[in-house]
Amino acid sequence: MSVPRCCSDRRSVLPLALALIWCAVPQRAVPAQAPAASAPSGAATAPALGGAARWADSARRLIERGAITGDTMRIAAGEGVARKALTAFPNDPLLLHYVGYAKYRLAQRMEGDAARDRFESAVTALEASAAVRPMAETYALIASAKGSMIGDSMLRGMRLGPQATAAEDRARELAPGNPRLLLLTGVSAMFKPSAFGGGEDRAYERLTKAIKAFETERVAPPMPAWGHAEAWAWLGQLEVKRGRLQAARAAYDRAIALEPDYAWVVYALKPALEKSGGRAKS
Amino acid sequence: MPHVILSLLAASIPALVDSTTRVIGRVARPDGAPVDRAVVSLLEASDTTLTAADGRFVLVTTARGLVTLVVRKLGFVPATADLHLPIDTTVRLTLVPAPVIITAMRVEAAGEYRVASGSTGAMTPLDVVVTPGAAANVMRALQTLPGAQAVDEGTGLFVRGGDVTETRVLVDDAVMLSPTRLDNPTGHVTSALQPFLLSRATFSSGGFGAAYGNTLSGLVRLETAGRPTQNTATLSASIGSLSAAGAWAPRAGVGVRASAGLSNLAPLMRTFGDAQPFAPPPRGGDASIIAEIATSSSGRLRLFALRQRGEFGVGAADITGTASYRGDTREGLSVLSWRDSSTWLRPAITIGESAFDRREGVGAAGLATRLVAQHATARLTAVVSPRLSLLLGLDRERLRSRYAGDGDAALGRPGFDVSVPSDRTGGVGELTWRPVNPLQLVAGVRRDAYSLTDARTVDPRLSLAWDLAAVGLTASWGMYSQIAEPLYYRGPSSGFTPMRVEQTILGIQRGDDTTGIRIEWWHKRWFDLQQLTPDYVAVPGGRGDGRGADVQLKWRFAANVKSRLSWSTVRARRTDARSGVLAAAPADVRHSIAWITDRVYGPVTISSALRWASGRPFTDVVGATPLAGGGFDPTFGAPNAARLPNYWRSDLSASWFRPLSGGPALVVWGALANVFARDNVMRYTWTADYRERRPVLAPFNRSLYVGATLLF
Repeated sequence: MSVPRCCSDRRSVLPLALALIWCAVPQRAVPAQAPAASAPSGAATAPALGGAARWADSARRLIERGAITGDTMRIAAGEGVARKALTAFPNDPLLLHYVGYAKYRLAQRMEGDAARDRFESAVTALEASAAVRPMAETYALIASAKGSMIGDSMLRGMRLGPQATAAEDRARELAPGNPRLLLLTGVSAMFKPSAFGGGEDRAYERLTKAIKAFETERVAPPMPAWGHAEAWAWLGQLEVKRGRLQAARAAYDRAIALEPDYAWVVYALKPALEKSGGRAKS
Repeated sequence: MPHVILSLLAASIPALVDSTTRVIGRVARPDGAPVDRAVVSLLEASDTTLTAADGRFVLVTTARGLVTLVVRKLGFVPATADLHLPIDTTVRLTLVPAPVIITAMRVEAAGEYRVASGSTGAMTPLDVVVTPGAAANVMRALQTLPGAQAVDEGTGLFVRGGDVTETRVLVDDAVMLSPTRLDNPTGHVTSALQPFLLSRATFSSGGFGAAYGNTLSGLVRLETAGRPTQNTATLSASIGSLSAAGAWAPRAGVGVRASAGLSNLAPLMRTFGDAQPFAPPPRGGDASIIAEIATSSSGRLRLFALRQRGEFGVGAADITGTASYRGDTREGLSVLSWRDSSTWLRPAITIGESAFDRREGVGAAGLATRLVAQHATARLTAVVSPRLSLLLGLDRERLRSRYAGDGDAALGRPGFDVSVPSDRTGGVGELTWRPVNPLQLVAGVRRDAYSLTDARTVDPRLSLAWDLAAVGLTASWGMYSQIAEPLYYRGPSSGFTPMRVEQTILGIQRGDDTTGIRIEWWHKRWFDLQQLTPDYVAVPGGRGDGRGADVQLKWRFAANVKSRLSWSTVRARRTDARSGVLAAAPADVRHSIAWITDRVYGPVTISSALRWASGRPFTDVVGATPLAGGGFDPTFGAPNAARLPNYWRSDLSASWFRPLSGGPALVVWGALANVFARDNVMRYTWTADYRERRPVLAPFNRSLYVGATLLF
C-alpha cells in the first residue's frame, strides 16, 4: 500500500502530529501531474468542472503555461495528462485537441525531421478532435502545423499548401472572428509570399484584428484561451521589420504585462530589440 | 500539556495506521446484469481492483479529495464518476457496450495505387510533374506504379497483361474517351489532362469495386481540382511550350479556375535531333475551365470543361518502314458533377460528354474517327452505421461513333463509312461492412446491358482488407466486363459479345507511406476477347490467362531523400488474332522496373528515374514469297515468339523555388531526358523483300528541357 509522502515522515513526534492533522483534513485533489498554474489572460473564472472537462482544463493550463514559460517538460506533462484522461474518456474532442496542441507547441521548439514528425502527430490528433467536434482553433492549428511542415521545400509546399489553406478556410467558416485563428493566420502570412495569400500587410492586418478580438474575448475553461500575449509578440516582430522600434518595444511590453513570465519575449525578443538599437528613437 | 499531546496522538494512531479509504460500488450493464472482471481504478492513482461475479468491487486507496473513478472492460465504453474521497455511499456505474469505431483503413485496397498518399494527404499533380521522364503527363507518371507494363514510350497504360484499350479513364466519374488508334511507332497514346487541373489521380490495376463498369483491366480515376480559395495566376514558359492559368475566388464557397496552353516540340527536336523522322513534330494546345460552388458544408457542384487539340506525323510507320503516320486529334470533355456528404445519405451525380475527332493515316490508308460519349452516373451511399454502408447506383452510357476509311484501289481495298450507336445501361449494389474494426469486407454486384449485343453481364466482386497492425492483408476476386469499341463490331451475327475477365488478387503490405513494402499476386482468365488483325479484321472469341506479381518498395535514404521502386512481373497469354493460337500477349513484358528517387535540398528538388523492362514480344518475319504482280508476301514466325531487346532509360529533373520580393514566386525547372542516350528498340520494320530487319528506335534522343513558372 502506498503512503502519501506527507504521511511518511516519522522521525519526530511533532512532525508526525502535524502530518496527522494535515492528512485528516480533506484536500481538494487536482488530477495527477497537474500542478496549479495561473490562469492565462482572457480566461474567465473557472466554474466547477467535472469529468473530461476537468482533465482537459488541467492539460490546458499545463500546456499554456509551458508555452509561456518555455518549459518543454510542462508542455509534455500537459500532453501526458490529456493522454491519460483519454484512457477514461476516449475520443473526447477537447482532450484530443490538447494532445494535438501540446505536440504542436513541442514541434515549435524543434527543427528538421523531429519538428516535422511532431507536427504530423499534432495534425493526427487535431484531425481526430475535429472529426468529433469541429472547432475553429483546431482547424487553425491544423493549418498552422501543415504550413510549418512545408518549411522551404517546394515539394511539400505544393502538397501541403492547399491542405493548410483548406483547414484555414474551415476554421474561418466555423468562427471567422476567433482571435487564435486570426493570430495563426497572421503569423502564417508573415512567412508566406503574397502570391500565396501572405505578405507583411496582411499579417499586420490580421494580428491587429486578433489583438482586438482578444481584448473582448471571455473564454470559459476548459476551452483554449492562449494567444493574447503571443499576438503582441508577433506584432512586435512585424514592427521591428518595419523599422518602428518604439512600437515594437511597446508591443513587447504589452505582451510582458499580460504574461510576466513570457520567456520568449523577456529573454529573446526584447533583448534582441534592445541590442539591435532599440534604444534609438524611431 | 504533554498529556494532551499524547492523548491526541493516541487517538490519532488508528487513523495513521489506516490512512486508506474504501470505495465500494457495483458495475452493471444497462439492463442491470452485473459485469464481472471489469477493471476499476482511479485516474489519479495506481490503485486498481476487479469487479466480482456480482459486479461488486471494493477499491482501497489513499487518495483524497476530488478523483475520477474509471471502470473499463474490453468491448465497453469506459464509465467514469467524479468522487470526493473519502466516501461512505455505494457507487453505481453502468458499462455500455462500445460501438465499433470505424477508423480509416490503413490498408490500401487490392490493386489500387496512388501516385502519392498518406496521413497528410496527397497532392498528386506535383508528383506527376516531378516524375522524371513523365513529361508532366499523368499517364506516364502512372506507368511508374506497380501493375503497369512498360510496353513503349507512349502514354497508354497496359495493365497486368491487358491491352491499352482495356484501361478506362474517368474524370470526376465521367468517361474520357481514349479510343483505339492506328498503330504508329511512337507508342500507344491515351488521352490525359494537364496535371494541375487535377487534385488527385488514382490508378487501379484490378480489384476495383462494382461501382466501376465497362473496363476490363485497369482504371484511372482523375479528380479535378476544387474551387480556389484565393486569387492566383501562373505563367509558364519552356522550350516548346507556353501556358497560363488563373484562379478566382470571388467569395466564400465559389471559385473558378481557367487555363490555356500551347506546345510544339519542334524547337526541342531541332536542338537535340529526333530519333524518328517527325513531320510535323508533336504540337497542340488546350484550354479548360473549372467552376465550383459549395452547396452545403460538405457538398459541391462542379463544372469542368476542356478542349484540346494535337497533331504529329512520323515516318517508318508500316511493316516495311516506307509509309508515314499522321494524326490530327481534337478532343472535348465537359463534366458536371454534384457530391454531398453532409448527411448519412451521400448522393453523387455526374453527367459528362466526351467528344473525340481524329483524322489519321498510314501511307494511303486513312481513317477518320468521330466519337461522342454521353455518360451519366447516379450513386447514393447510405452510411447505415459506423460499420456498414450501402451503395446503390445507375450508369448510362451512350456512344455515337462514325468511322470513315479511305479505300485503296491499288490493293483492291474499298472505302467505308459506318456509324454504329452503342448504348450501355448498368446498375450496381455494393455493401461495405466492418464486422470487426481491423477487417473490412466489400461485396458488390453490377449488371450491364448493351445495345450492340443481346448478352447481359453480371459481375460479382468481393474484396477484403485486414489490418493486422504489423502487416495488412488484402484479397479480391471479381468478374469484369467491357464492350469493345464499335470499330470491332461487324454486325449482329459476328460474335460480338462483351469481353470478360476473372481476376483474383492476394496482397500483403507493411509500413507506411514513406517506408514500406507491398506485394500483390494476381491471376486472370480472359474470355470473349475482341481483337483486330494488322489488316483490321475483327476476330471475336479470344481467350487467355495470365499471372504475375507486383512489388512496391518505399524507403528513405536520408531525411531529405526518399525513394520508391516498382517491380511488376507478368506471364500472360492471349489468342493471337492473326493465327488464332494462344500465344504470349502483346503486353507480356516479363519484368517492368521503375525506380524513382526524390532529393530535397532546401528550395531545390532533384528527382531521378530509372526504368528497365524486359523486351516485349513480337511476331517475327521468317521468310517471304514473291508475288506474281511484284512485291513480296511475308511469312510470319510463331506468333509473339520473338522478343525486342530489353528496355532501359534514365531521366533527371530538378526544380528550384524562389519567392520574389513584392509577392510573386518563381519556379525554375528542368529535365534531362534519356540521360545515357540509350537507343531503345520500339519495333522492327523490314526491307521490301523481308530479308533484312531494321530497328525503329524510341522517338526521343537525350534532350534537355528547361522552363520557368511565375506565380502571382
